[in-house]
Amino acid sequence: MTASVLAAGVVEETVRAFFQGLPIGAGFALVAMSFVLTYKTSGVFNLAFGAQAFISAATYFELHVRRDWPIWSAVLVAVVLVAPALGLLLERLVFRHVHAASAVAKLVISLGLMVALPELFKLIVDYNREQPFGAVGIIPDGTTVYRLFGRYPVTRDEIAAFVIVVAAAVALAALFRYTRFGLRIRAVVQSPRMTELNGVNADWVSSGSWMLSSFFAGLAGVLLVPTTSSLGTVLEPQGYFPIVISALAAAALGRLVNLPAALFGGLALGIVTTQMRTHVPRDNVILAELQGPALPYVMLFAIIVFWPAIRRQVAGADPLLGVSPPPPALAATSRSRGMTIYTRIMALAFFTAVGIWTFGYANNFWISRITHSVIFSIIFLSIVVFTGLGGQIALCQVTFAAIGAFGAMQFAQRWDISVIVGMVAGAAIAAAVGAVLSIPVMRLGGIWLAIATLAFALFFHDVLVKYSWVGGSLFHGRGVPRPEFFGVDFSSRENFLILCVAILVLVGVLIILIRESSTGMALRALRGSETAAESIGVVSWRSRVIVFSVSAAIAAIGGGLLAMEERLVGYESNYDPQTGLFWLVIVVVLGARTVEGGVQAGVAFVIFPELVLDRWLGLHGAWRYVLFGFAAISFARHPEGLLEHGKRRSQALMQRAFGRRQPAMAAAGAGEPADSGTETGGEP
Amino acid sequence: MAARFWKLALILAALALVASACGNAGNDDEGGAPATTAAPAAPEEPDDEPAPEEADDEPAPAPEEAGDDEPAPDGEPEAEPEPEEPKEPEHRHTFVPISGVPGVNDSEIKVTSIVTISNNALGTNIAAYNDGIEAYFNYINDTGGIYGRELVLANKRDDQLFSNQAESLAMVEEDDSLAAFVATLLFFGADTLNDAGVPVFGWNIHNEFADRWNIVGNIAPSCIGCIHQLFPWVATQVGATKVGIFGYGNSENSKICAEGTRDSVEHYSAEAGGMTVEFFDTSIEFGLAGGVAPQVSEMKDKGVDFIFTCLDLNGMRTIAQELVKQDYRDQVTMYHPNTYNHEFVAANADLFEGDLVFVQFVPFEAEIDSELQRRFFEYTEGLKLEEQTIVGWLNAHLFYDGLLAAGPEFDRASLMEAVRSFEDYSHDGLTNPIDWNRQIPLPNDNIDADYEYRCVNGVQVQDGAFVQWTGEPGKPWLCWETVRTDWHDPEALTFVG
Repeated sequence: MTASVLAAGVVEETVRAFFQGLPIGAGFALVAMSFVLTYKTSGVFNLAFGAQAFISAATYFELHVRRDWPIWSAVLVAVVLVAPALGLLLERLVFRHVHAASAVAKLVISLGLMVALPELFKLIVDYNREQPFGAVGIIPDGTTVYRLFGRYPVTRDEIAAFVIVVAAAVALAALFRYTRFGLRIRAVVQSPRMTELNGVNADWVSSGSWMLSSFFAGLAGVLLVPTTSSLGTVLEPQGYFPIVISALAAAALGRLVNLPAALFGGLALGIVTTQMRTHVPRDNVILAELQGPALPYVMLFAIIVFWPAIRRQVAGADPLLGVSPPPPALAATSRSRGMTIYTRIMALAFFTAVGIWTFGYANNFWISRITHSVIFSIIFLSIVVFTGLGGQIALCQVTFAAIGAFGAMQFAQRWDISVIVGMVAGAAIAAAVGAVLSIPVMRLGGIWLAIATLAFALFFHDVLVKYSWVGGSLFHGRGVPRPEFFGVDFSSRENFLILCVAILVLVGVLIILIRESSTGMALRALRGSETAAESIGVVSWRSRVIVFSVSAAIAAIGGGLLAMEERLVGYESNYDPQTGLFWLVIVVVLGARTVEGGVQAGVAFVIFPELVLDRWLGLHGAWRYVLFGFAAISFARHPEGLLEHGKRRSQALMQRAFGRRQPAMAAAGAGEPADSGTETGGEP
Repeated sequence: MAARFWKLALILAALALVASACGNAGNDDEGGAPATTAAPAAPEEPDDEPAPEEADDEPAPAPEEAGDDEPAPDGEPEAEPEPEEPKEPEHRHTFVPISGVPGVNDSEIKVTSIVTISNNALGTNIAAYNDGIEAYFNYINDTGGIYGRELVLANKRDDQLFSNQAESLAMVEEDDSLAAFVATLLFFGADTLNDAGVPVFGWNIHNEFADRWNIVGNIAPSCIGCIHQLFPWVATQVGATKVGIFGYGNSENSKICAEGTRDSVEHYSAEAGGMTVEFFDTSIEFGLAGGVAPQVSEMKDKGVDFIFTCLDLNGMRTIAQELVKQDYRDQVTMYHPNTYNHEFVAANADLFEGDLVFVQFVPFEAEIDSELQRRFFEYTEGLKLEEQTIVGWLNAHLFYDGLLAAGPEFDRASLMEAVRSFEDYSHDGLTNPIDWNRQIPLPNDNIDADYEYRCVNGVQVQDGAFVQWTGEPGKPWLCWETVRTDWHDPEALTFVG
C-alpha cells in the first residue's frame, strides 16, 4: 500500500470523525451554553441544570409517550410552560433571597436542588410506576438519516439539535449585547441594589432571566434525549450526569460567561473525542483510558487548572455588599456560664442515656446504625475542616474516604498487615494525594475549586478504582476484617463502636486544636482576604496544603472504619461521587463550622431516614433527598447551619426566660446573618 | 535540626510499636447469630484433571464415552410422553407444631424479599421478582400449602441500591422470616445473611453467590471469563467470520466477560472457519456520552459481521442505533447477554431485528413439557412478564422443594441441608441442572465446581418479539459437556423429568 493511499485513508477517517463528533459536540455545547446562560443571568453555577432538564424531558415523556399527547402539545406544556414556571418558582422561592450570597453558597443551593427536584418530581407523578422505556425526541421522524456530501450520516434529530444550538448561541449573544433587557439582566446579576437605584425593577428582571434560562434547560432536556445514549434507553435524571460533566469543560473554556466560547468548546470536545477514538490505538491502557472514561475529566481538570482566563477571573461582587454585617459568632462562644454548664449537663445526660440504651438494650441493627453514624460523623468532620475552617468547597471528600477504605482492605488482604495500620496508611496516602491535589488548584477558589475537585473524584471513580492496585479485584473479594489492637479484640460490634467513638473524639479534639492554633487563625484570615492575610505574613500555600491533607486524612480514616464496620468495601453504595455531593449538602445544611455540626450531620445522615422517615412517618427513602435537598436553600440565609441557628434561637429564648440575656446574645440571637459574599470567601 | 530528627525517630519508633501491636481480629463476628450450618470445605481442585482450557493437548473423550457413566439427560430422541400430574409427596400436608423457627407459626411460613426497586437506572424491572415469588406462593397455597401452612411473602424491602447490607441486618434482627429472597444490583449484605444462618434464595448476578453455604441462586456460581465453544459456535451459525467485541472499561465484570469472549473466539478460531477478532474495545464507559460512531466505522471498515457484547440495555441500543445510522445494521448480527426484556425490545424492534438474545432459563417462548412452566404461565397471567418474574418463581420453587425435602419439622439449617442435597436440580427442566452440593465455589479454575453441561438458551428478535432460536421443539437447551474442550457441535437437550 502506497503512502498516498495511506494518507488518503487517514484524511478520510479524520473527516469522518469530524462529522461524527459534531452531533456529540452539539449536545455538549447545548448543556455548556445552558450553564453559561444561567450563570450570566443569575450568577448561579447551576449544577441543578440536569434536574431542570430532566423535569422537562420527563414531563414530555409522560405526556407524549405515556399519555399519547401530540408532540406539539406535549412540547408546549413541558418546555414552554413547565420549564419557565419552574424557573420562576426557583427564582421567587429560592434565588431571589440569595442575591447577595457568595457563589459558593449558590453552588451549595444548586447542589441541594439537584438532589431534591428529580426525586420530588418522581414522587409527585409516580414516575417509576413502570420502567421509563421508549423516550423519543421532539422532532417527528427524528431518526431519519441524511448523508452529508453523500457519505457522512446524520439524523434529523442531530441536525435539529445542531441548528438550535447555533441559533440559540446567536440569539442569546444578541440579547446580551444589543438589547436593553440583556443589559439589565447583567446589571441585576452584578448588583440588584444598584440597578434598582436606577429605576429598574430588579425582581422582574431576575424572574425573567430565570424563566429564560430554565426554558433553555428544558429545551436542552428534550433535545438531548434522542441524541444522548444515556437518556434514550431509560429516562432517569442520572442520565444527564455524564453529559453535564463533559459539558462543564466546555463551559469552563468560556469562564461560564462567554456563550460563543461555550459553543465552540462543546463542539471541539465532541470532535476531539471522536478523533481520539478514531486515531489512537486501544491496546495501550493509558491511551485507551483517554479515549474512554478519563477524557472529559482530564480535560475539565486541565482547563480549570491551566486556562489562564479562569485564574484571572474575579467574580463580580455587589459593591453594596460590604455594608452587610459579618456572620454571627457561634452560639457556644456567646452563651452565659450557667447556660454552658446546663448545656453540658444535658449533653452528658443525653450521651449517657444513648450509651446505656446502645450497650444495654439495642440489637445489632441499631448498634450497626449508631456505629455508622459515628463513622459518618468522622467523615463529615473532614468537610468541617475543609469547608468550615478553610471556607472552601471540595467535592472529593468521598474519594478520600474511598482511599482510606481501600487502604485498609489492601493492607489486610494483600499483605496480611493489621487493618488499623492499613487504615493509617490509607490516611497517609489520602493526605499525600490531597497535598498533591492542592498544588495545582492552589489559586483557585469558590466554584472552580469545587469543580476541579469534582473532576478528580470522577476520574478516580471512572478510571482508577477499577485497577486492582486501587480497588482490589472482584474475584479476590473485598472483605475487610476488624482490628485487634494491643490485645483488645474489636471484632464484636460493641467493641468496634467504642473504638469508633474514641477515634471520633480524637478527631474532634484535633479539629478544635487546629481551629485554635496559628493554622486555624491563618485560615480565618485567608478566608477573609488572601491578599490581606499574606500582607501580615500568613503563608497561604502552606495553610491550603495543610487543610487539604488534614481533611483528606480524616475522610480516609472514616472510610477505613466504614470498611471495617461493613466487613467489605462497598464502593458502589458508599463512595459514588454523587453520594459525596449529598454529603456536602447535609453537612453544610446542618452546620459545617463546628465539630458538633459534623457529628449532627453524621447522625442525621444515618439515623434520620431510618428512624423518622421510615419507622415513624412511613415515608419512602427518597424523601431524605427531597428534605435535605430543599433544606440547602437555607444555607445562604444560615451559613452557620440550621442546627446552630436553632441553637442560637433557643438559647436566646432561654436566657430571656431566665432574665439573664447578655448583650452578646442579643446580637447572636436576633441578628440575621448575611453572607460574606465573595467568590472565594464563602462563609459556611 | 537534631531535635527534630530525634522527634521524628521517636514518632517512627512509636508507630512501629503500635503497628506491631496491631492485628486483625478473626472472623468470628458476633454480627448476628453464628452460622447454624458450617459450610463444607470447597471441593479439592483435582490435581490430575486439567482445567477445561488446559485440556487441549489431551484427546477429548468421544461423546459416547463421555456419556457412559451418566446417561445424558434425555439426549436420545424418544416419543413425547403424555403430561403427568406431578406426584405429591405424602408428607406435604403433615402438620407438626414448630416453635423457635423464625417466621413460622401454625398457619404461615413467612419470608422476606430484599429487592432493588428505587435507584435502579439499568432499565430492568427488578420489582417483578416479587411478582414471581408471590405467583409461586399462590400456586402452592391454592393447592393446599405445605405442612398445613401457607407460604407468605410477608416483608418486601427496597434496598434502594445502596442499603442492602442494612436491610439484611434489619431482617436478621427482626427475625420474623424463615428465609430471604434477594434480587439486588449490589449484594453487600451477603455475609450478614449467610453468617446469621438465613437461607437466601436470589438472583445470581454476583460473586457473593459463591462460597456461601446458605446462599443459592436461580443459577449456580459460574465462570464469566472462561473459554467456551458457545461464542464462536453461535457466530458460525449465522455465517459470521469476523467478530467485534465490546465491554465496559469501568466494570471489571464486563471487561472479564469481553476478554473471555475474545479468548474463546481466538482459541477455536481454526475450527470455526478461521474466525477472527477484528475489533475489541473495553474502553467505553457507562452512559456512552461520547457515542460509538468511530468504533462502528472501524468495524464497518474491517468487515465485522458479528458483534459480541457484555453490555447493558443502554449499550446495546446505542450500538444498534449507530449501526442503523451508518447503514450497516443489515450486515451484522449482535449477541445480547442482557436484553431479554420484551417491552424494551418491542420499543426498539427495528434496531434489534435478527439479533440473538441469550438467557439462562427456558424462555417464555419455548414451551416444554414442564408442569412448573405451565403453572408459571397460569399463575402469572395478567402480569407483565420479565426475566425477574421467572427468577422469583424459580427461587420460590427451590425454596418449596427444600422445605419438602427438609420434612415437616424443618428449620433454617435443615432447609439448607435439604437444598444442598439436591444433586441434579433443574427446576423441572427450566434451568441447566445444578448439583447444589458441589457447585458452591466459583468454577473458574475448578471444573469439579462447574456444571456438568454448559448450556444456553437463545431467542431471536423478530418483529419486536422473541422467537426460540436454540435447540429444537421440546428440547430448547444447547449444551456442551464441560469436560470436553474440543470443538464440537452442541446437543439439543431438555432437562424435564
